[in-house]
Amino acid sequence: MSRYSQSNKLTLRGFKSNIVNRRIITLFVVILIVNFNHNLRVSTENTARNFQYKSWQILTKEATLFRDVKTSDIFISNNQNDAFETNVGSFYSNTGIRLAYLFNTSSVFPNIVDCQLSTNCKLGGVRQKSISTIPNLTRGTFVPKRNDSKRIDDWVGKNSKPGALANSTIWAFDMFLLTPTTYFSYLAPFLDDETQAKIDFTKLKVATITSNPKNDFGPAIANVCLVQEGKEISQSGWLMTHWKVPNLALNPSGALVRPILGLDFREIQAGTCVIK
Amino acid sequence: MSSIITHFKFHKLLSVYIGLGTIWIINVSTIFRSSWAGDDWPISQTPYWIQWRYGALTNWNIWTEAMFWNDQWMKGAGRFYPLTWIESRFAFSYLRELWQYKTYQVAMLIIAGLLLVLVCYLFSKSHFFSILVLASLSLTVQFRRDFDPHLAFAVMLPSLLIKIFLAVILAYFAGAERRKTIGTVLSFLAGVIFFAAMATYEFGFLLFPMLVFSFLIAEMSNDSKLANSSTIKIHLSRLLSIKFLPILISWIGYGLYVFAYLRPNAVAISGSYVLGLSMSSFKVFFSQLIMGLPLVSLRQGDLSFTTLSLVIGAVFILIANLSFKHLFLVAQQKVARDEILSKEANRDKFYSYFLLLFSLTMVLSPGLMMSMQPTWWNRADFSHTYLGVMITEFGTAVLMAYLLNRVVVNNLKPVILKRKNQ
Repeated sequence: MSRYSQSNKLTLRGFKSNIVNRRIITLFVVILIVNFNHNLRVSTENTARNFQYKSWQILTKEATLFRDVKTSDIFISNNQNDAFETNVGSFYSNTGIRLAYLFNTSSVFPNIVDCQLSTNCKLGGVRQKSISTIPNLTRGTFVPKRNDSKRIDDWVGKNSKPGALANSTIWAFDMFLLTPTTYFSYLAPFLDDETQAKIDFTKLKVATITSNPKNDFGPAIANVCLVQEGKEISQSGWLMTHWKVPNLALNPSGALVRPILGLDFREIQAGTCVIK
Repeated sequence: MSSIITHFKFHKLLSVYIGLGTIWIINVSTIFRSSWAGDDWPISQTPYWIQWRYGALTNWNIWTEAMFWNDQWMKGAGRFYPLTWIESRFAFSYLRELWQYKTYQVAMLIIAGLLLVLVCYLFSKSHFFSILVLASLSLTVQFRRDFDPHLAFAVMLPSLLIKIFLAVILAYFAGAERRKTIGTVLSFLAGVIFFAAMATYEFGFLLFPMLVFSFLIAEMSNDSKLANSSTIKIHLSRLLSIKFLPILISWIGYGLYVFAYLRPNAVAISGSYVLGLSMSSFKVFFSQLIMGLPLVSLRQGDLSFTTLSLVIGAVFILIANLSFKHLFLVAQQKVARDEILSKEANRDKFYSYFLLLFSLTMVLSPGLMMSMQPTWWNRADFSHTYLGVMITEFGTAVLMAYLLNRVVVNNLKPVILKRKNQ
């Protein structure tokens, strides 16, 4: 046996006899595994918005909801949030439609919280207010204009010119989770009446995206059950369904109702109906 | 400690590096399970905003966007960190898929860890110690449930640390270089990278002592006389030499620009960026000291294991056992050699002191910063921390490795002595 291997045997025996060092290894491994498990858990915890994020991608890339929307139209949405994917940039990138802007309702109507239907408060001037807000935009956030004032050649600058948005349609639009597995989105044009903020209810379209293989319920808007217009499986395997307002509809209780033409923007409340 | 490679098989050390490096990589790779988080949500939308506003995503438009935000923060809050705006805007513009961005996050954190290991090797010239640092990183790096610099915030902290460690390495070589001209050039490069680090996150300003200690360790390892008669006066004279001057200028230059020019002229400094001191500062400071300790961020429910955790855990047990077995064998042979030759580890004495200060700079500075921010006085505690915690984690890993090194070597000595007496 060589001197080297003899020495190795001795040192190995020495190592084995060292209980403290073995305890160090054990402690290291225990902490390592617990820490790994902790990191894995924390990583997974922040995936709560994944369903919404993916649904937005499907909605804007694959749905036919935006078929009638033109360049420079304006969207007004209660749940629009620049902090996430629900912004005009992402919308443009996915649909190819370059909106003048996708507003959060509070940007156009800063006092909407105090202006409820029950208080007889009138909400009007949708077009005028939307268009007049456009020049204040700085990449989606409202910060004081500085260097940007020189850059009137960009999209905001172009749309800020007088008359640039004269032919634009103003749309009521929204997207949110109706249930943990159902993403809901609607789109309807505002009526061209500046004295009130009403949508053309008969032209309202809805798209739902669900991770379930079939719809468990149908959507309702303002107590009117919508009827299915078509459905397809998205590229990611989720069910996407298009809905519309029927001429003669049922309400969630099953009673017949005739949808009205003009529905106040504040009355757009989503609900559910049983699918028969 | 002199190199152990000359006495022991290189492949043993390499296998330990690979083993514990694999554990480090697997641990960091848990990032892949996460989604967009924190500020990454809105920043990830950058390319789409640019496309919408300017019609096309060009490098110039990305640059303009980054400069716009930098300008806002410079004039508004008196902050100067343009590289974060530039890096994040370009990263999110070209890494649009989640997996692409997460790969970038994982890679940057892995690199930051490996650079720390390299730094520790340079300081100690001990593979045993640097391997222990690598092992400790997998224990101290832990994801947080509030502000997390690992999963979010546009890779700002790993980017900062990479630049700091690169500057530390260059400062080391500048100190080790006997030729003044080359030393000054290396110091200049270190100064440039250090400035880039501060321009990534102003926090880098507080990490200046790391470059000081790196430079001094190198200077002393160069000169055994100096090591034996180190005084503060000698250290100061070294730090005022031409070889360290570029680093010093970089630090002072950044400080003057931010604190003497930008801050006094800022028009909208928010409460978060106002500095102050109160009794609460002490509470905040001490609460943040321990934030890098292993398992400190463990919460209820974290002990329920998934199948994946158990499988990976089994892999960890195998790798760690094999790696440490090899590592301790190598360490024992090293200790035996030193004992037989009655070799006093001279280097240990002088590098240990600065190494401790080096790691303490990383451990203490995040808490120091937070303790001076009134906005944290009622928020920071043992479960709430901020982005700088990653720096604390890295510093704690060095401290832990230092202690482990002492404990393991001391445990090995009796075995060796027993053998000598037989």
